[in-house]
Amino acid sequence: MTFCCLLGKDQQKTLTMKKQNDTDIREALRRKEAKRQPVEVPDDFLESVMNEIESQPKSIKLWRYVAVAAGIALLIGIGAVIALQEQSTTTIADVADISTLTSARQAQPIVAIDTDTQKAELSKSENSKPPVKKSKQTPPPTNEDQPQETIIAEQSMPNSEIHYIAPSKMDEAIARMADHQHAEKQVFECEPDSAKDVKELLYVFEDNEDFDLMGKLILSACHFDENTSGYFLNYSQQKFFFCINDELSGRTYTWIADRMSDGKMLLFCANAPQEDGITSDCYISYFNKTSSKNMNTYTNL
Amino acid sequence: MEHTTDIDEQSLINRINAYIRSGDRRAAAAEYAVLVKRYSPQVFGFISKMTDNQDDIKDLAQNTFIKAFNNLPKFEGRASFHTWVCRIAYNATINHLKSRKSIFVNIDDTDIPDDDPNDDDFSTGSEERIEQLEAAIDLLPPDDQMLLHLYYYDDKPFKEIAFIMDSDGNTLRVRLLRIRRKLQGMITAK
Repeated sequence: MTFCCLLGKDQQKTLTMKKQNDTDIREALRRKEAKRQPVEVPDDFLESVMNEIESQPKSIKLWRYVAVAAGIALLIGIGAVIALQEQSTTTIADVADISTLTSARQAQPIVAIDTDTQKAELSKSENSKPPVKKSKQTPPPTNEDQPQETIIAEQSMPNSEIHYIAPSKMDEAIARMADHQHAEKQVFECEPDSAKDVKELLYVFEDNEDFDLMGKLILSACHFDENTSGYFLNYSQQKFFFCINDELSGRTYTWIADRMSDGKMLLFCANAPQEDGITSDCYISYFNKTSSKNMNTYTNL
Repeated sequence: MEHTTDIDEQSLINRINAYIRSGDRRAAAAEYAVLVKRYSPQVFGFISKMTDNQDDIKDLAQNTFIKAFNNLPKFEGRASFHTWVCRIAYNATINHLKSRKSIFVNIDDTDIPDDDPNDDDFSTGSEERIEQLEAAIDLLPPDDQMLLHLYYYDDKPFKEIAFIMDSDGNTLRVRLLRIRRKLQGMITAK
């Protein structure tokens, strides 16, 4: 063996050691074995082994539990991400309609305000009572340094750039949200005056914290230029009120939302010719009726 | 060494493993009973070489077969089932004896002659020498006694002994040499 020289003396000897006869050791062991009492296998030994085996729980490798748990966690995580994406997509889509219009540079007919004319208009309407209380009325710019502009009833002014959002876009966005959230459309008991071109709609949304209708309405209202004619925005945790004039269409728009005690939110959308104005009597009547019904429901419990 | 288990026994083991994989533990146990019945006497005898406590022998044998069942999927067939079970029995018994703090006389702690015994030193045929060896062997630690038994009484090759005792052939050869030296020293001292 070529590697013998690498080994110690003992190892070399063992490698070359033939089977030891050592008959004395063999005989000693034989006698010891003969003297040893034979070991009997108990009669119930097989049964006890079988019972022990069958009573043991099925061993499943821990990693399988971990793998299954990880798979379930992954599925839940994916589901949550998809749900969140859908919600955010809805939110973004609804608000983006308005925000897109905000950023879009459209060549739209401008309404340039002539200060003198405006003053004349204001004096005329001084004695008339506006149908909807406006706490903020947008005055025309009165800076003397600013050039005097005249009201132009033209359809286009190609060289101008203005930010214009049609209030009807907000109605369209609300209609899409109502459809997506399966909001109910309510019918008013009182009929609007058919002689007037008044359009009124009432939606009943679920007051869903995840959807946050109130937040969406506020955000949408903020996209409008507060200097727009008739702009008025007021909101709280319970109520939303927004109105604005669309000088282009000559209509005035109003949106009123109320958070109800039964987990619902009412959203009143109305528009009418500016000269006719919007009356919220029907909505107020409906709101009071619904509120008292809820109150009675709770008091009767 | 029974290098590989016979075909019938391997088929039986394969069936048992198939039942275990499918979760039918009862069917697997029923098939395994054949192996338990077949090798119980050998396992009992094997363990009794290291301990003579009857209760311990029974408990250790039971633990051996249960452990063998639980590890049956790992049985690769490189050694016979009997040899494989003996390995499990050996480890179980050694661990049991150590836990009970049985006296293990470390062969290195005793005086070992520097000279190796001659080949004829243990082949005298002398009655006195044989009786002395019997007494000396009783004083050796259980695992040294097992090595002597497997090598001299069972006449097993080092490869198989190494498998049973979870060691390697060269280590066992050196160990056997030292045991022989120790026996020589014990006999000479008397």
